[in-house]
Amino acid sequence: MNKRWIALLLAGLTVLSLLAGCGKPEEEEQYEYVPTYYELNPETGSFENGINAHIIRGDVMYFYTYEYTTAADGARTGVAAAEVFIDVLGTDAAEEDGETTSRLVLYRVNLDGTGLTRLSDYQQTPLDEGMEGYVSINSMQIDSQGHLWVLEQKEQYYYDLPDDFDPETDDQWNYYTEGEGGCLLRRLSDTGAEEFSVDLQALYLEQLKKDGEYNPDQHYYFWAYSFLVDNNGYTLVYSMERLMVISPQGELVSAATYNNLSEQLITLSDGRVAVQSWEGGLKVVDPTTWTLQEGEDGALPRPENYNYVNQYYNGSGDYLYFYASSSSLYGMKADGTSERLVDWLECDVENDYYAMSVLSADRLATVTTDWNDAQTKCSLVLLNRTLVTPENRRTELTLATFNLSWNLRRAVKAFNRNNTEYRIRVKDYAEYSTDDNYEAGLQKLSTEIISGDVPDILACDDLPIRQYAAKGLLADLTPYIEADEMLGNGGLVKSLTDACRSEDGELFYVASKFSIHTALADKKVVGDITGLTPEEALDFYQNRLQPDASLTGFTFNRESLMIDLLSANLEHYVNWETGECTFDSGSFANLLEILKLAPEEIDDEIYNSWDIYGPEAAMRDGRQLLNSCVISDWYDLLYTLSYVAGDGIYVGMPDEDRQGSCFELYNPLAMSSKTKHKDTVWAFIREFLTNEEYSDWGFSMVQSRLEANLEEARKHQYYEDANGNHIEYPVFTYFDSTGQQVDIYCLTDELYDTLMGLINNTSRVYDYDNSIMSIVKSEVDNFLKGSSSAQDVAAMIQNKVSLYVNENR
Amino acid sequence: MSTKIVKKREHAPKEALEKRRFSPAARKEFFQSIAFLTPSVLGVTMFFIAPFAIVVFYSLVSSPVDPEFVGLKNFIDVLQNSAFQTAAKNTAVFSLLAVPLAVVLSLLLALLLEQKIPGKSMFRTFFLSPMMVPVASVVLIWQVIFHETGTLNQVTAIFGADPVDWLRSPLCQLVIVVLFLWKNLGYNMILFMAALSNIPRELLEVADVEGASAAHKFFHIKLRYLSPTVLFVTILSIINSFKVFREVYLMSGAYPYDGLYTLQHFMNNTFKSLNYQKLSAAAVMLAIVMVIIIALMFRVEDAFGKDVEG
Repeated sequence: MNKRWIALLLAGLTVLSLLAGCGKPEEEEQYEYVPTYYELNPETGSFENGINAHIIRGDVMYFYTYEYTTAADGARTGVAAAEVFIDVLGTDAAEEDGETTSRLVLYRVNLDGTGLTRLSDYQQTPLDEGMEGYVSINSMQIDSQGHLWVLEQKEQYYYDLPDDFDPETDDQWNYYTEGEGGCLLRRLSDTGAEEFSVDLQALYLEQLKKDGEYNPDQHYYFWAYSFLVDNNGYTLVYSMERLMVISPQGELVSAATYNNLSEQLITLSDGRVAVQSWEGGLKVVDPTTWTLQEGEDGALPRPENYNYVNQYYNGSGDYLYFYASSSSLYGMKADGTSERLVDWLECDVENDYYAMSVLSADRLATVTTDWNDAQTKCSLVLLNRTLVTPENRRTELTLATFNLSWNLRRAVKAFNRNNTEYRIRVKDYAEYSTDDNYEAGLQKLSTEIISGDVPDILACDDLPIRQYAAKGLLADLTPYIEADEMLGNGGLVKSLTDACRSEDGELFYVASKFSIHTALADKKVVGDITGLTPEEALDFYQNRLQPDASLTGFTFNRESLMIDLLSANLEHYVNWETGECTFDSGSFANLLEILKLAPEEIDDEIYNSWDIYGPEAAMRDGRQLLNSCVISDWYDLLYTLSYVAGDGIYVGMPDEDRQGSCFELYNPLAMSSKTKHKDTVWAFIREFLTNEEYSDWGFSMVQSRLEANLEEARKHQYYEDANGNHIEYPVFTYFDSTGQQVDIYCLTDELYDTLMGLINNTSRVYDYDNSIMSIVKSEVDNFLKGSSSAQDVAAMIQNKVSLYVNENR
Repeated sequence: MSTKIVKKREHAPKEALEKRRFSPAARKEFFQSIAFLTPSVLGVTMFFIAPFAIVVFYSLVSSPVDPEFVGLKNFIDVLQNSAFQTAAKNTAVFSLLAVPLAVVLSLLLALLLEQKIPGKSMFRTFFLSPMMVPVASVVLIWQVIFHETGTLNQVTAIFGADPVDWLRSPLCQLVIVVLFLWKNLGYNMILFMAALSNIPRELLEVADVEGASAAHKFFHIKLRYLSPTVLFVTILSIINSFKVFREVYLMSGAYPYDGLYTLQHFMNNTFKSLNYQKLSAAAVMLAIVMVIIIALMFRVEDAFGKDVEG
């Protein structure tokens, strides 16, 4: 009987263990770093040049900015406009020439935003007599007594003009001479007056002399970017491979030599000082010997991913120190455990690690500058760790990406900052990929999608968009575009939009900017053609160029060329609609022959002899048929056309359909068809598409913006000379084949037509299919090694790619 | 003994059976049985029945993400898909070649090792050794042997033959069949040897006394007694023939030469490309075909070995 009960109990336990995984997991407590903004306004004017850097200790923050003035009319700009400006450069010439001069100004403010005060007695280190140049603050610190320290770097130069110098015929920059620099550490009073200073350059030279390393014929220039004042008043600076320690009296106590440290010094939570080592992690500085502690005493726990650490911060509380990567802030405990404290994307401020002060694990501070308003607005921002309650929880939208670009990151942060109802959470799947399995991230995303966890927004770079669209995962954006006043009715560039549309006419993604991937040929060689087939390219190469010429450039290796050629020709060889592939049609062999002409690796000699093998020289001399190029600005036309003295034509890469140019998209975004918040998602995509702030380069996909930008480029550029005359100046200059200088003053009608022709006649989007590319690459290698004939390789590619295409139809 | 009990119950009066069924002891036994069965039933349901039901569901909808019932469309699409056709043809050809060879050769080996030959145990170990070699090593060995510059071509070159890229030529299936046989013959052989040792010696002795030929003894006594094992080894070989995908995948990737592209490649690749409905339709069809094949084999085995005591 007992045995039966035991058996029954065991059976029950088995059932329970089976059901154990079915419970709902407890929701983890979620925290946000909620920002509080304190606008910083000086007594008069504004910080219109922004705030350059800040330092915080306790409840006080110090920061500095620059004050500019144009001396010609005495008009003031920038902060404290009512005050009398002192030209620290002290050169009358600057005033006469109307040169703009600048000076440093320091401010203090309490962390609750009150008590903004200018350190009125602060004067930056003056330049030497007869010198020009500037002074910058490289670092600031507040010591344990609350004194502000600044590390100033002085850079000086002068023009060693000859007696017969004539400014009409000569340029003073030809006589530019570097002057004596300086690096000064200064302790300031509450009002900014200098209380104490140390000339670091002098100390450094003194030490070199002591060590017998000083060379009187050598010009020494000492610079330092950071320092630290410890709790006993000793100052530590690491620069020029010296860890210099200066006593409170300003004497050099130690200058040990180390060649493997970075300049970053921090104070650990237990008061010790540590310096960042290039070997990874931090090294403790022994306060008695002022050398790096070795052995167990000097061993500090090292971040696991120390190669990705961008910044270390002073420790506090439970954390020995804090450190930041580009994505997160971590706290390192003394026992070696590291905790991820902040995801920078979750902070609703624009700044990341580079401008952040870590006051504690629960409190961060930064300074932001809003340049968009008519008046520049600077704010002190305190971020407090706050528990997310059901009342303040925002609806979360997920953005899936494999490559979070800087602009997309900014757009997400701006959206989160300005939206009280929604928050976008970025999920970067590239984090899941490893060296062994590059596609692990994609597999994870795919698995999550299938299990119903579909992201609301997809950043399409590196995603199998065609497959996702075919599975019905993506929403057609056409209705949203058509309903939009700005984007509807031809508001987007037509040729690009058509190229992006699916076979059924749906538009699943839009991009903020685009460029055109094409290839330039010399009209004198190829004539007036719109494109060329691989066979024609080989014919031109064999019959129209010099011997030992290159078809696509001496700096193009086989792999790059294969990617370009295949991307251009994929549509010709693969018919996704019927599943038919034509790699074995015979013409593919010509592509293989072109590949064979490219070197496997580029010899260093090529780069060392750029004047012979560079595209400029090779195209000019008829030793290169095509120059692959990306046109993302009208200037790119000028650069590339200058290779052939303006007589070029964009024919694209060799392509069977003579359509070898294709669009490249920057940051294409798609909307999930499953999202319940389509209007909000579209609002984000639209903002990213139309706001110029979120794109650095490329042509806008929005037709009106493209036209406006090109119209602006068509305007002639002028500068005003000393006599007030408006002189037109060229925006680009090149030398034609006769050595004649050609000046380009603006986007000419001819160039405009060339560019618009290129945009309007391009009908494909750069198509990089990873699977096809790897199939082709593996087989092409056999051909290039000579182990298979072109026909065999073509047949093998045909065989394998057909399987792939038919699987995915 | 058990046969007798069953017969007794069959002949028990109906009332007695009813009484027994609803007695407290019977109820207790019933609930205890349920309790003991529950873990297995739950496990089988969770890990076999439910996933298969989901696969069937996926095969009947347009997309797992946005499911719309589409009837047999996925099945028709898959049947019309040329990649599937290639995969199905290759799988069928491979199974038709490899499975009978695996059964027949392992049986022959078992019969051979049943004889009194020298080094019997050594041969037995020799044939079992491929089972101990990890798949990655097998793949490495096979690549060394069958590569265009591999051992086999070096040997054939001695006789003036041109090198053959075995895994990238129409002969590729032959390589995989050899690999399959090399890997599986030993285990099958052991199963047959165990079955052969269970054949009643008396019957064979009687056959010997009555002057039966070796062929007669084999076909009319041994084979009939071996029929359940033949069935088992065949099913096992069919299953293993599908598992050869591992070796092929490691040797030639997701897109091998046409002749090596099997149903597992098709399913693996469609899984990676999120084409769950296509994958599910193919899986359901494969399951149906497997059930039909196994049912047919049971019928054959029933017919062939029905009068054999066991």
